[in-house]
Amino acid sequence: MELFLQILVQSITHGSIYALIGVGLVLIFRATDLINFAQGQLVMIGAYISITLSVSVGLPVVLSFILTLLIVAVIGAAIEYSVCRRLMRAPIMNTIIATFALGVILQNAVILIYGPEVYSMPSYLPSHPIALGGVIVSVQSMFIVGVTIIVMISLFLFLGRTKQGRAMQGAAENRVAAALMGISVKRVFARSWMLSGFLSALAGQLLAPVLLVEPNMGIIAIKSFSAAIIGGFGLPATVVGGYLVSLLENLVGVYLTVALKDAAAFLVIVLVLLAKPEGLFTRQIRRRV
Amino acid sequence: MRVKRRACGMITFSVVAMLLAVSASHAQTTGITNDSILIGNLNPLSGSASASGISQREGTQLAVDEINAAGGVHGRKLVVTYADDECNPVRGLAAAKKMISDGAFILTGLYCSVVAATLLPEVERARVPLVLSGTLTARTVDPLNRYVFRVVGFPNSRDIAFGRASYWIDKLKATRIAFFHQADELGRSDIESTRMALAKYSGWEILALPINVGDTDFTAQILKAREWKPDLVYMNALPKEGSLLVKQAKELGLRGEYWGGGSLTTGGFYDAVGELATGMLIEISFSDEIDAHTPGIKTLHDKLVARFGKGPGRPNVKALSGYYSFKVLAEGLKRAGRELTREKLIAAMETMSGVDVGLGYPVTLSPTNHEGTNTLTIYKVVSATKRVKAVDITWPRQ
Repeated sequence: MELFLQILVQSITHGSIYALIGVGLVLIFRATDLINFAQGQLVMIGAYISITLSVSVGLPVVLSFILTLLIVAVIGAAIEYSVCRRLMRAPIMNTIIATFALGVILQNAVILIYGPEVYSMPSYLPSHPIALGGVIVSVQSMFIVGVTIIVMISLFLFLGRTKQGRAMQGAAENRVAAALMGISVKRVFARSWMLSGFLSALAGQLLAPVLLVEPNMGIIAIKSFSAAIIGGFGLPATVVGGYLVSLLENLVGVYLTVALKDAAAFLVIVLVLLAKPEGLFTRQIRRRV
Repeated sequence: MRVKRRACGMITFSVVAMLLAVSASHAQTTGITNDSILIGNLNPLSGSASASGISQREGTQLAVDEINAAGGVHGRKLVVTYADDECNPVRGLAAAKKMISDGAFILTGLYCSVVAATLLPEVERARVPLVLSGTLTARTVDPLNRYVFRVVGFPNSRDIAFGRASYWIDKLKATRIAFFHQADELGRSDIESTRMALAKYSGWEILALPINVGDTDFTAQILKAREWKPDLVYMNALPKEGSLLVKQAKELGLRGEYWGGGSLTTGGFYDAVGELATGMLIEISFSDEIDAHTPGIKTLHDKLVARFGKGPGRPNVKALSGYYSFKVLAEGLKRAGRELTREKLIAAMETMSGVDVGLGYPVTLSPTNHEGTNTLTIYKVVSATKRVKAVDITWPRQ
């Protein structure tokens, strides 16, 4: 039982990261119909900016944290304006390749500036784990889960209860109708990318003390893609998808075989796409043509 | 008519034989000019192992500069071309083939065992010597490949396995060993060698826990090990994965005597792990930049910092390996003489007995043994910034 509880604790921690990145992906997709294959690289950039501001420049931790969120949000908006807006009417394949290429460019830019080496980000939280019964929880894990919960609640409140948030939801449902109602669709796009950048930077900063900061760290976004697919690219469902992916990985790895740990999440994607392509938690919407 | 035909046949035969002889001797001296020797050097300069690969290249560059500044070898300067194998066997093989086709006299370097294993048939086919500065797999020297020399200053994984097995059982009294290893050539070689080495003992068990290069979450493996309750936790992985593995294992409360393999502690491990590494026993041959008590190593460390500066996890022991192997190679080139060929170099390398290039860890090679080192030094991590020597484990040469 202790083992299962420990698996659960670890899954909630990692699932929180998958959820944060996954929601960033979904925000862009729902607003612009675009899948951002550079999402992982935005996470990576968040981590690098954070380590630069807090370690190299020496800014106070909180200031560095907030500045990083803002900078990557602006980067997100800049990408939307300079790349994605110009591809609005382009074939879907073009947009996929464009964001994929963008990811490569961002990664190589980081390597050019920082080099290919691995950096260690100090954790500003106490490092000694806490034992709760037989289950061990680190302070960093609790921080990750806590921040994720607060941010998710805030995000859903923003989307559901504020004018701008409802405008984003409306534009995501029907762009033409939203435009007819006076909603600036371009502004919605920009906000979606900014929010997505914000969430990616948050994920990067939460990850940096846990992992190592290096150009390949954005690969974690693959798990978030899984989460988004399982959640049918729906917002709350993607969060659930993130936790499910993490739990599945760990259950398979511990109780079956480590060799299948990563494959398990991808196998579920294939099964979901075959059986319920709209996602496990979303109803299929048929469009009239 | 018959005589004419026979004469033509003999002339043709002679011409072909001459051409073959010329091409064979040309192949023996490819890359050599009057004043230079072209050497190819491969290392992982990007990816998980880049800190080690870059450091190894820097050590190599420093050695080459020193050798050339002293006039080269028999009046020939060493001209080294560098390539990034990305710790990827396909890319490594492609880079090696290109270097060979570009005329390299010998190949050097390598850090990743999986790349080295892939190159073995190629160097044998091309008859190009390969002098290794890194890698752990014993496959490079067993079975003997007459073109491959391992002069790393650090034993290979098979020899290490036999050396450490006796220490684990006899001194540490370990019976339950959680064995974290890479799911690749290095890791397979490591665990196979360890099982063979432990075979003569009884009452032990190994729990094999593979990890993939590039993985960042080892929860499943660590929890499995924790549930199994080992008395010894062995970890060997590239520095990035190894750092995360140690951090996560300590955070998840995996108990036991922690023993780190040779790949683990190069390239920024101590920066990443900090105090969590305290108490670990580490396999290492050269003292690192913190505990450099050998005068030659301290001087070398200072030279590396002066020339290349410091980077994350650099300089590290791999710089020493890169430097060391090139100094050994220079000695081999010197012994081979001015009328240099690949065969003469191989024969010259095989005459080395107790050759010390100023860093300790003397090299001994022979026609039946191309592994230069038979000593494993174990260090204990006392704090985030201090390691002390615990024991030297030595075994007879094959």
